[in-house]
Amino acid sequence: MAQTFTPRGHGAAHPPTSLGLDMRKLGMWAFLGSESLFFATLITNFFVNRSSERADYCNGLTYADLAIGLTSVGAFILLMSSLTMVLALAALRDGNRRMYRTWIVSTALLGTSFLCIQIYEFTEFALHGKGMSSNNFGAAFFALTGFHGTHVLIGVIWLFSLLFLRVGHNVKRPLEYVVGGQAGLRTHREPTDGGAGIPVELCGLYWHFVDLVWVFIFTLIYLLPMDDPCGEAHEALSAVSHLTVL
Amino acid sequence: MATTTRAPELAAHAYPESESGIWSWVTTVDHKRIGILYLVTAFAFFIGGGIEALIMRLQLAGPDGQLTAGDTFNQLFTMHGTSMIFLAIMPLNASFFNFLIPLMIGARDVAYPRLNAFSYWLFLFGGLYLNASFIGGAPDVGWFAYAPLTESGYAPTKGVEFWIVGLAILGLASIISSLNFIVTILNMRAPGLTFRRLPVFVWMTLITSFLIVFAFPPFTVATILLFFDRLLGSQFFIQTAGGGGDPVLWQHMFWFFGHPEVYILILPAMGIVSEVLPTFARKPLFGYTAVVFSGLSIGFLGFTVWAHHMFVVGLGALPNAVFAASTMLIAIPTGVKVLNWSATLYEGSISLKTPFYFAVGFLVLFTIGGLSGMMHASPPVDAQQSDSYWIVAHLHYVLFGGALMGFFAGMYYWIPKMSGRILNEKLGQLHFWSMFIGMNVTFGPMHVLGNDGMPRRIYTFPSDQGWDEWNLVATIGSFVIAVSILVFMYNVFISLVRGKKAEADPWDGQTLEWSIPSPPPVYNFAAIPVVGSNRPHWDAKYGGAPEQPEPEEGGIHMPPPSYWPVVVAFTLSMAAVGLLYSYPLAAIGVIATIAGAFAWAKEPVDIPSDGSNGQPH
Amino acid sequence: MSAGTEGEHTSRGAGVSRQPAPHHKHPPYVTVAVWLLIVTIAEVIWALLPINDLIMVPILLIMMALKALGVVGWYMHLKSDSRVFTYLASGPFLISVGLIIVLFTLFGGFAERFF
Repeated sequence: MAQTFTPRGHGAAHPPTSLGLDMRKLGMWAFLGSESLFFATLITNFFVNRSSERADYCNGLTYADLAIGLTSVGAFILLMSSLTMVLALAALRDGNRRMYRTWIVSTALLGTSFLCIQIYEFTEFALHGKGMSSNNFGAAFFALTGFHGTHVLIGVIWLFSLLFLRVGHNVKRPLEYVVGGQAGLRTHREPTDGGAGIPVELCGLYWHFVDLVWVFIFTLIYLLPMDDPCGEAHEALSAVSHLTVL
Repeated sequence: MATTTRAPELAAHAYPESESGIWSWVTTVDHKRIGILYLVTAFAFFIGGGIEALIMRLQLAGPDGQLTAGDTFNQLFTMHGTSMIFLAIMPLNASFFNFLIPLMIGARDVAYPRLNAFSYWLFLFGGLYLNASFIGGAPDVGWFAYAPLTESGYAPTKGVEFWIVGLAILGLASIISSLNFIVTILNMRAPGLTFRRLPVFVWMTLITSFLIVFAFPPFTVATILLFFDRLLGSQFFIQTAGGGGDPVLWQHMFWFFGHPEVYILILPAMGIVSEVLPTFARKPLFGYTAVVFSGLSIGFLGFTVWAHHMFVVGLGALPNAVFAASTMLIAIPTGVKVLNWSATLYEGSISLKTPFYFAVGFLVLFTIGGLSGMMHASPPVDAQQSDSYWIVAHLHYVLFGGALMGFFAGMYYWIPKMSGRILNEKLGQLHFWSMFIGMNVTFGPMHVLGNDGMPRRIYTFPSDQGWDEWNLVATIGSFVIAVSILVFMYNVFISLVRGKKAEADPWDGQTLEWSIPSPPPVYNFAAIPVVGSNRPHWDAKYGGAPEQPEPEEGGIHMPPPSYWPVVVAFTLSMAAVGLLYSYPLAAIGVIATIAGAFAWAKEPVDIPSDGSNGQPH
Repeated sequence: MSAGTEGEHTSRGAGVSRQPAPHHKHPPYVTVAVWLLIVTIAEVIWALLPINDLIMVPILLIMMALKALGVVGWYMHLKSDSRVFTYLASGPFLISVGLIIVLFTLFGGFAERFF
């Protein structure tokens, strides 16, 4: 008989997982570990270049240009989007698909407004000639926050795409049961989430991770104090600095 | 047994239908086929890297060589190092991971079969992308691409861009496939196969996968920052009178990846040897727990030693001392392993087959390489040896004598399982001896050359340095290696055509893959085995195995093939090409990738409606 | 890794603590959000006060860590989920922190910048 992958019927039993955990969630957490080192390296790069002693420091973006007020609004928006994200998952688990969709759309829109703030910020800096090539403080800042922004963008696309994917359609069944359990062997558990709502939870994990990175970035870039010998010169820097004061 | 009925909700979807021929390979998600694809592709890149090495050895055969001009030589050693590491050894290891891990843990496939195919296609396109750089000038900055040599002022061709983007693609492929293996090993073990019973090869795969997942992101970031330097005019890794950054930062970021990378290359070989030696000594592995924990501590310590590559940078006495100490610490778990392998042989009833020769070859050559490594773990000694041929000798003893010897041990051991044919024993031993001798004749003299002060990466040398003889010897040795590889290829060819048919268990193996036919059926195990010790197949043959389940009625549930992995890998590579040559093309590539990913997600996978399947993608 | 070994034997497998729908008792998401907001406001005010760096910086880092714990523990469910996920996340996190601190030190961060 030709070897074949054809048996696709649902009659066969499916091997339970060894840890009793969902494959996708396990993979997502391992992936987030990888992402953690990605951002750690960018943060390292920012710290190494976070110095006002370099000769070209005053040529570009400086510490005084960073707008705490505007960024605090951004941080607030991202935190709120994390809240709406967990509420979306909770609504899905409760079987309330209308609220689920509402919360997902709110999360995506909050993410979009965060992106708008960041685009505005970057544009303002660029218009004042403070770009990647002006000085390394700015370059490291753009690299770190830019990659965070890219992650937010991917998250927003992912969130919107959830609306078009069929998720959580079998959520209202009892979730836990045990199979296997031969004498002397460890009991194997079926993945207890049963796949329902997992796509949303995965997107949520990613989204919260992106929020988490912003928690670190917010403190490490914007709040940690730093001497800025040329801060005074930029007092007139348009709307960005108007928002500097809360 | 096969019934072709399809669940109603899947029937409407257009799946690839062919079960043989080229499309069945392009759309396959079967881990065994993907493993073979990895093997063939990586071996082709290995041959390419070997040819580059031979040209270099010809150039250096005598003083004042005229074969390749300086710049070509630079491209050759850069591409040789990059290819051998990223396109040969890593994917050769990945081919064993793919083929063997599900078999060894009693699973029917990996956790995410489609992502697995995606990793392979990304690897293939990334490798082609990197090698396409030869057209306009390959990267010529060394495989560790030290700044500021890589900045646009010093490396004006697009070679460095090819290197950056190519390695980003390859890194993505490696990370995805490693995530796959992590989840597979953690979550898809057969009943009873606890962590204390995992075969050592599976353990080493798990550790290697974690190393890849943690070590590649810093490298990717470093290369992206370098890309910004070249493209957008930032100055992360270049220092100018007006300010700028610090070239040493590149070295830190690179070696923070680069040293774990060394263990990424060698740990799988250690796993292979830990499977081969007990089988041919007909004894259980001596000190299983010690070997596993040594592997874990090597993996962990691998992240704490990177600056020993930078002893001559001038970090200062204290950092040098700290990194020297942590480097020397690694000798302890490595020594434990060598001891355990040797003790496995002690009083064993040894069966002298080709895999065993290669495994012992690994043991000997890797120990030599480890000892020379210990010497330059000391900063004062390293100050003498750094950037000399001594380093070339050391790294080839651990990577050629270590990783590749282990790989060939695995080839002779597992090709019968992959193909159903046993490789010719006589040719195998000819291969071993020619390779073993050629290897020592090539790289042994480099110790002497290094001590005599011959620097790495020079494309020619005058005749009054006293380096002539040993260089000639090394060149002769390199051609002996080339002959040995030809013997191997001939052996594979002749054996696959008319070699001895392999039974399910030709070597009296101890792990689960030997309990199923050679080559294995698509579904691997008719019934998922129940494991009672870390030598399940010996238990099955010689008593002590727990009661095994009967195969189930109703067919076996396997993931269907898919077009999307190759499509998305292609669109992503298209974006990478566009990044260097045409931004509209890059934009099209990105949009097509997003669309492809969405189609991928929409493709119905065979999750039963009760949602209890743990293998969704 | 060893993380998995231990996680395997823990009594808290995935979802054991998660009751079947629809009688789902959700963690106090809104309360956590309020706390996150309060800490964020405190952070900003604290950062704008004229205080010596030696006091300012550690407190800022502590507040940052508190917020991070809130997000990871409740929003990412690590507090109630299987411990395997906690192990999977903490390994790379520790390596990340190590990387940042070691390079910060090697590039003279402690010598020149803050102190």
